[in-house]
Amino acid sequence: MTTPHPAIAISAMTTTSAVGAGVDALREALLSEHSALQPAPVVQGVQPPGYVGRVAGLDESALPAAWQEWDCRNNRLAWLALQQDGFLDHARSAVARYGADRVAVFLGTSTSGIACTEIAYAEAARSSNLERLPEWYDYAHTHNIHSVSAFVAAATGASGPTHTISTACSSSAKVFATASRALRAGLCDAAIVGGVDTLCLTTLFGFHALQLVAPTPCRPADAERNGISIGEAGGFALLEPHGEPHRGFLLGAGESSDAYHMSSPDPEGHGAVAAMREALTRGGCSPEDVGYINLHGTGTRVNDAAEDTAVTTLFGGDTPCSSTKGWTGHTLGAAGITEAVICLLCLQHGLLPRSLNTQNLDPELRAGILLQTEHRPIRRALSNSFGFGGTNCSLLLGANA
Amino acid sequence: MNLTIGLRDIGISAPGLENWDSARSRLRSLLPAHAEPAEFHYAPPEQLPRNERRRATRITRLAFAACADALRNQPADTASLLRTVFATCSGDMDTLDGICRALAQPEIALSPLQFHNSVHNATAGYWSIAGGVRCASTSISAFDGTFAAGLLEAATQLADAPAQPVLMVCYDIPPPQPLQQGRPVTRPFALALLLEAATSTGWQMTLSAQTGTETPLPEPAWEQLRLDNAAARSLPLLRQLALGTAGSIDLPGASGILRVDCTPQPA
Repeated sequence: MTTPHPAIAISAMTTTSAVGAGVDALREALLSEHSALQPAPVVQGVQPPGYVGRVAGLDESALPAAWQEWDCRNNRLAWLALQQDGFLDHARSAVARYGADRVAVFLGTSTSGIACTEIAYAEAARSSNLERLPEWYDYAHTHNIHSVSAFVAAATGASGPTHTISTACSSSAKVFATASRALRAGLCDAAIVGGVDTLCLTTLFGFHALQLVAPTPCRPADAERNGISIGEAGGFALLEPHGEPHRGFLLGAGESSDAYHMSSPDPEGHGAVAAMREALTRGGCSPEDVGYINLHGTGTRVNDAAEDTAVTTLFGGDTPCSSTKGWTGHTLGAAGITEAVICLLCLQHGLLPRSLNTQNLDPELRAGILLQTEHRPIRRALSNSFGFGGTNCSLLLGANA
Repeated sequence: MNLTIGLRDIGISAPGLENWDSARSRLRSLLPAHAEPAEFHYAPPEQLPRNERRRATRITRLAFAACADALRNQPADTASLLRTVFATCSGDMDTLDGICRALAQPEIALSPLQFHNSVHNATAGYWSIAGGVRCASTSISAFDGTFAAGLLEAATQLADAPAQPVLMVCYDIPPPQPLQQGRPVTRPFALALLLEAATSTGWQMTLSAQTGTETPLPEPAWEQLRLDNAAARSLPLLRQLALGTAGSIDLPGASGILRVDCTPQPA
């Protein structure tokens, strides 16, 4: 039987994406309705398709000398994000208060530092010997999925339980579920959660191979929507059951699997409904308590239709909802944390962002999709993150416990 | 902290350790002979529909074999009722190599199949489709501490929902060249543990955080295997379970040591 869990205080949070570094930049972009999507620039000498949400300045900002071995685009973004909103200080302060081994690190990523392997292969191919990778190549500190959590643990000094969740686009939503279990089980007193994913040729050309990259900036929920715009982002939250809830509360998390298809969602949305329902039950809430839903809303035809079916099954058509991927792009393994932070900002400021880039709402969709940004207080927000392999995660966040 | 969980069954798939029933005596004796990885057969998983069976790559075949072995004594529909933890240090290195090779060509052409097989949770996706499993599933890495992390993740799931067992599988394959230069794993290894809330009749494992050094294996060829593959870091624990006696095993975690105190089922 599913019973409610105690709310967990979120004492600090931050996010960095194409809209800017830190939560203030995000809030300003949401208010000014400024999309950060741009035509994809040349990456590693190759022209990718579509539009992207790219974080400025990463190419020029190597990691500090002490952490040089971790240097790759993904860990650079982790480092940039850690320095926003005083997050690094908050994390180090938790380490000092609770003891290093009582602070856990659970981060999500889909591709970690795979760009380093792409570059190493390209370099080897140029020297006409694809059987020999360059001397500088360091798999463990860059490409490996766990590299991002190991780097963040080193940078913050946290030495409690740690692993990296890599479940495609639900990765950094599921970290909240994992961390809340670890906290309830007494494995740690605080947990650094979040996720980082950066632009790489694997995802830019991989989604293109699936014909899922839009030739225009993505248009979630639009009748003419034609795919995703890939973005990069990094973000973190500090969960402390006995800390100050400066940023709000994690009320519940729900996880499920589709058992349907490797790269398409179940059109009937059974798994998505199960994840949302579990998040509500764990948070002791009913659907009418939810004031805003941040949709997964990638902008592909099938995702938005399947999610609409799931949302209306549970909420009907009146709960305000939107995808914010028109601002940031689909930040893949970092989408969960990016959109959890957006929900927490919405709760804090009474902001319900509209579905950006939606020009003609798809008449087939029945959920309460916001075509205009609204300003009014809400107490509960739900964030959906779904991914390849049929993985679903929903988070219920609250202004109060 | 410590967490106590129960163990219902074990599955294994590795060269020379094809299933738990035959692996037990080898683990007890630690005879030095190893089967050669080149002769290892990655069997196409019978659980999958024909199309997916064909598409499933070596790593998924390896993980499925260990899972099927762990469920060999369970009713046929058991898989659909289990939460799952898929723990792999590096994921599908064959597919990642294929993608990076394709990206290094002047004309880039990736296949949709290659891309969806490249995600770290691809095996979990196939498992969900194969068994009609709609339960929660996670896919993780903690580099060389991946096995201990998977065990701890499963234990917190059981602490939250004791009535629902968890299937935890840990697996890694040797990468092809040139990727093996970055991750020099030479032998495939997978194990699966069917875990449940502790009972008075079955194996119990109590997990606790420790400092110190990891438990080695007393025979050099086996110790070499343990250190070769992140999933094989489980071997000292598997040996303890094969011996059937109480014992304490220190596993490498991503940050420190995870101690597992095992108590066998009553004779």
